[in-house]
Amino acid sequence: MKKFIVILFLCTGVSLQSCKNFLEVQPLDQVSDEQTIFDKTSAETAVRGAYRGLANLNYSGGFQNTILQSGADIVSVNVGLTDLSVTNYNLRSDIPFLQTYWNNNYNTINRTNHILEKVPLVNDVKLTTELKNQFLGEAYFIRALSYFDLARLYGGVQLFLTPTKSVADKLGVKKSTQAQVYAQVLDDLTKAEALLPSTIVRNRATKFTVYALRARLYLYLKRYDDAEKDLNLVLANTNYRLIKPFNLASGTTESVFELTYTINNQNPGFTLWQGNRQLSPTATLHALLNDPKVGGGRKILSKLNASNQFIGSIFPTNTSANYVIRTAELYLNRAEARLNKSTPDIEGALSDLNQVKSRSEISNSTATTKEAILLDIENERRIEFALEPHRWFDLVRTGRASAVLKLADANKYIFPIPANEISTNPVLEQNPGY
Amino acid sequence: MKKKQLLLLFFTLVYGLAFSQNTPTINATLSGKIVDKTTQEPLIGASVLIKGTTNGAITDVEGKFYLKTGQKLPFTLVSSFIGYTSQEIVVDKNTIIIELAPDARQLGEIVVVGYGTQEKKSLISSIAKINPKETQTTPVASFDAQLQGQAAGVQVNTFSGMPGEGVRVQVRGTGSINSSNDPLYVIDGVFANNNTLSTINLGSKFTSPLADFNPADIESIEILKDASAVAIYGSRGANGVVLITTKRGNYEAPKTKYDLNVSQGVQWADPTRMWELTTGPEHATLVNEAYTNSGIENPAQTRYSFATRPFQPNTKGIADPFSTTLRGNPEDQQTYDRLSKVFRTAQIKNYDFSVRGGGKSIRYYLGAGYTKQEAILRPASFERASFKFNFDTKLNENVTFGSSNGVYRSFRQQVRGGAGQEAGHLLSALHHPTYFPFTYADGTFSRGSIYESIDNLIDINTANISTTSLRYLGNQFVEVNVLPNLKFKTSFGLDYNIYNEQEFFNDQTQIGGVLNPGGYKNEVNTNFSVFVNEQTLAYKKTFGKNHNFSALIGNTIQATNLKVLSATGFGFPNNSFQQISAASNRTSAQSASKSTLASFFGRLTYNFDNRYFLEGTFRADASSKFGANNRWGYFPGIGAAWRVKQEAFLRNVDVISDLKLRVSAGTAGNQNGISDFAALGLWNGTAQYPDNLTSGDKSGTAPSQLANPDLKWEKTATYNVGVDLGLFKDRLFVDLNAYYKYTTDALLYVPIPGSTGYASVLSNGGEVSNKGVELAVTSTNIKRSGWEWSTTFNIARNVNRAEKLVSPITFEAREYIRTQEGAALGSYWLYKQLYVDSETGNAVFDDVDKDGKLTAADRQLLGNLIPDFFGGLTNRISYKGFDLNLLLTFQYGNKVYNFNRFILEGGGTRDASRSILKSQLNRWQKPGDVTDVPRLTFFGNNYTIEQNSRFLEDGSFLRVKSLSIGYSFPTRVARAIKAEKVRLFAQGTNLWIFTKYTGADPESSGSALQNRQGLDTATPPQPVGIQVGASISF
Repeated sequence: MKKFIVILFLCTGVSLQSCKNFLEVQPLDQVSDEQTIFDKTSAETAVRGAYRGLANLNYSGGFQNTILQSGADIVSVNVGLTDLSVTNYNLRSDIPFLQTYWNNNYNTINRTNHILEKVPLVNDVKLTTELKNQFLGEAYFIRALSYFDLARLYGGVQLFLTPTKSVADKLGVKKSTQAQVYAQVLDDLTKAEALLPSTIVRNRATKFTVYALRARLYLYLKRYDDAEKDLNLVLANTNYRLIKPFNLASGTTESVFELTYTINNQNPGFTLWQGNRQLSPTATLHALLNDPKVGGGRKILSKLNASNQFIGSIFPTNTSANYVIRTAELYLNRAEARLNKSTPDIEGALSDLNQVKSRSEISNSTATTKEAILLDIENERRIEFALEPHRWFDLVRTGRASAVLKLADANKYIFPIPANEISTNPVLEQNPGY
Repeated sequence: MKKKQLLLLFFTLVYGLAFSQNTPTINATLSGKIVDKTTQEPLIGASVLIKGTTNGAITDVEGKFYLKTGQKLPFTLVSSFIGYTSQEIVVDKNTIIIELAPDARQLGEIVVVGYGTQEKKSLISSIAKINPKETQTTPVASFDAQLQGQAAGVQVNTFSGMPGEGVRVQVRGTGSINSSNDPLYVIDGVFANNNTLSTINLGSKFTSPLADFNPADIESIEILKDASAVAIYGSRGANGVVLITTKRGNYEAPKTKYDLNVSQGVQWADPTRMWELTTGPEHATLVNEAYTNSGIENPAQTRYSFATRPFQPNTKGIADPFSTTLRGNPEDQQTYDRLSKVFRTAQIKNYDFSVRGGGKSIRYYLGAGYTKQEAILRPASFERASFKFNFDTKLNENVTFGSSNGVYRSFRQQVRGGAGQEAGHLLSALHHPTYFPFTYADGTFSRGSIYESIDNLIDINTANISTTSLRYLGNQFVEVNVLPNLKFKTSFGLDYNIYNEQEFFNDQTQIGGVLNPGGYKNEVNTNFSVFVNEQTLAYKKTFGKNHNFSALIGNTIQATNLKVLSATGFGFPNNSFQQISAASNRTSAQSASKSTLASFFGRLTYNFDNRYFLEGTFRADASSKFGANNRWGYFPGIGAAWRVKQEAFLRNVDVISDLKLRVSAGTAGNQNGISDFAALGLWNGTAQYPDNLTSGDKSGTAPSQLANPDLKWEKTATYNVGVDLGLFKDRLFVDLNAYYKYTTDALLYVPIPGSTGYASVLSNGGEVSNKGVELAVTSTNIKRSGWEWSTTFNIARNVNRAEKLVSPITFEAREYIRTQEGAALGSYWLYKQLYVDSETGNAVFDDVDKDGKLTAADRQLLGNLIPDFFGGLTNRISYKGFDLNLLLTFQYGNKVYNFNRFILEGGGTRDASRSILKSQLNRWQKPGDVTDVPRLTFFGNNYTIEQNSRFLEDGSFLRVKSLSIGYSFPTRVARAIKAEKVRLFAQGTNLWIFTKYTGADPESSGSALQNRQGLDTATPPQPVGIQVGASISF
């Protein structure tokens, strides 16, 4: 009988011995923080991760949905209450999508902050200075774009330039003003410009992508001369040309910066328009697109199906590319810059505008005054970017939201800060009017 | 050596005595009667057996038996009956009356506790024992669903009428926010997995792994509730422990027992509780009214007005119901009933067969079962085949080997539950507008803007979702009596589950036609295993006359492994091809997870004279889920009891047959339901992106979880005081408990600023209290010859409160539910609609901060789904061969958010995307109208406030859960077909419900996810059912 007791204690002894190993279990499909960016390959994968953040978080279907509906030319097919809050411009801070877009942008920002902090410390012969610079430049660009969108959506937000290691890092930080955020965007873009190569890669950031985005930022900052300068740098390159007929396929010279999708990482905008589509062009927009004098080649953006429904056709498949910046925008941006710069260039502006018009086989602008041309540009953008989330931002930027959207309350031009964001960090102040 | 000699001497003496009584009478027959020693009532079905032979008999309804013996008198007759001490008597005449004494052990019922058993009379802890025979009158697939109303303080809610779906079981309230609130399930010593392995999109519906087990194999269910009972389960005991003991054979059983149980029945949805939808013309009128009102209210806009109302004649003269406008006048609309397409009268059938017996050194139980239940919602069904084999062998008088094995296969034809683009069998039927024709002009099935066509969904050739669970749960053990009072046991347990899920949508559907053109197939294989090895050493001794000691120590190690492999394909050559290899687009995914747990535990009990009881338990657990600094957790429990009845002053008080006071305190932990790697900062590898336009996706990484190296156990301290009172020879037995539970370091996903890049971090960020009282009363109202009536009643109240929280936490997409300091967990967070202004027709909301605007600051907590009290009432009546069992369950004071009503009472603003409930017709129309349904409009707050308190309803109910009536044939009739017992029965389920709730079922919840319960959507009600069957014992 004593044998049993001996065996028992042996067993217990053995289990105690191996206990420590037994309890050390490492994850299999994820890696812990320390092993993330330490050599060339891991730096490379982290940068790709930041792009995926842009593609599937920042430019999520929801984001496009809200901004398109705010622009009033696109309506929800399945009228949910949130949709009514959007179209009535009656957002409350507890509407969940506000938190989603906020989190998505900051998630991507955190990815870039990890890269910006860790890549300079990597010691790997395979990670050349060139490559290091490229990765850092790409991270600066992605961070700039994310903060740019945050500032457009929410006005002033908090600026965080280091990765989150614990929650305490980010508590108690007040928001910067919208101007300060734009200044940070400009700073990031200027750093990116110095670091990035002048190659042509349409789904990653290059020097040209930086110029294009910075020009857009300059329009928001009303620095029109700077905007034109940057746009000239891109449009001088023959790799950025309008294509005829109008077509939004991937990889053409129309593409300045596009986001790529695959079967594994599908285009989140696809289901907005296809299948049980969520969105539909309004009858007005459909009519404009299909008017040969207005829409021209862009009529392909709104088709009529067998049940007489308007089908928005921007993403033919769930792996279609999503344009963030395309050549047509550069022309229309330059037209606007040329009109507004210190010494207006009416002819140059008309030439840019007419490039876009003639590409879609519609007649040249007949406007002659600056105001008339600006209005023509506004209308052209409405048609050109019918299914892309521009109009709401454009109308707010140009101060036309009140006239066009009948939205006089300027407080509504920026969205409320998400309610949970304030409850978890009470130093954050709600935007006025919410 | 000494022992053997003594034995030899003993046998010699016995044999000597036997031979010396030389009475060589030969008798051909023996007849007799077996009665209860105390009441002299006849015992029906008792057995007699001539010792050393197989010659035996069973008593009939009068307690009589008759034997042809052919044996010499005298011989020894063994008579036995369940609940009575077996008796051996030497028979020396041919008629005999045998008096069997009730088994003392039975009277002082045996209760299974953690790692052992205890007599009920010496129990210190609060443990509810449930006899599965009582619960199986409810024909639901899973034993946990059968527990409703059976035990005080155990709240069981069936969230949907779908067989085999998740059930909520809560023992004494909820202490956890993000860690699981489910009790720990231990089946034959194996920690059984109760977390769903479901991965495919069922719309927040989950299959319950507990439905794999056949309730017919269960011998007893014990629910451990207080600290002294659960502390021995340490880090997993905080939510209570459900111990399941399955049936085993009996050593030296007089006879092998065969049981056959067959039943068949139908179930349907109660038509009086179904949703009432507006007709096509009514729907159209309401939508037009919303447009017209909006035009008047806000003439500046052009989108909504009388001119743009959708239901008006088409200029071409042809109304097109599918167009966004111009569908013809309201009165031209037809009405299409989709609900009757999806609901059906469902067939259910159940067959169980078991063999139970044993010999001198072996005993066995063999059970086979088959259940098939169609759901009332087409095309869902649940099918289970089970095989159970329990076997024990005594190698010698000191060593026993044993084995418990269950093999189960559960097949489910599934339906999607949830909302959203791709979903919803019930929602497709319920939410499609009624004016919407079934088919387009070309004959294909029409679909609305949100849901798949119901005709596609109910045809499994078109849309087929099924899951198959193949599971083994078993335990092998060796038990050795090391010393006379010292028992060693080692066991190896395994819960192994292969879970296969398949979904196929052909090219006619949304998923397989548009989103993934060419047909879509997804298959997921999940392998899950729990391995447990356990050693215990138990010691028991009485010192002196009255000092009774027992001690137990043990250790266990456990490893849990999860592996998921999935493949998806779309673009099949045609609909006949359903194997992913044939798809033109294929993707696959893999994931794995593992956790381990090592533990040591012990228990010490002492009682003096069965009068004063003391018990101490302890457990130390180490879990791989936590950081190295917080790996070990220590969980003590102590308890004491005073059996007052044993004192001199009560011994002679006849009215009081038992009185015991109990008190206990202790700590248990919780780590269930959190991720295996919750403490680590993690990056995932799924954020692929190309390097250029032609490279295709290349691997990418992104941060996915913020580290929390300080993460540790959630701990719950429980204090319990209880009284057991037996009156009139225990004919009235009262069990009263009061408890206080306080959870510290509650595991929860603390919402953190999104600006961190993360939405939340799991941390020990809260404290939660539960306090309550429980009362259970058992009364034997009538007990006479052939006529018995007993009643059991239980009721409990639990008050739940979040005592401390870093910040409030909201749940659900629309944040309907919020957990906030000072209020119960999971309270509804709503805008309170005060009334509808009878002059303007506008809804008036409570402006809490009086700023004249309706903002998030005006939301308030307006109750929750925790009832003020709940319980059950069972009546059992038997008269001669008839028996009747009636179970009522009730719940009072819980709130349900009628989400279906919220969606379908949208004031016409949802137009063609949803149907409209009849209740919408009560809307305000003209000044002076008094109603709570506001004026129809797209503007203002009337129909744009999502979290409107108008849809929060009282969910109290009283339900006739089950009624069963049976008739057992007299033994002589049964014997005619060579059976021992034949019982025919009929039973009804959910026969009647009394509730003010306007939805289909107040227990429905769209999601089984913790913290998201209490929103009624996408869920069929629990069905009304009628079943008939027979059980036969041979």
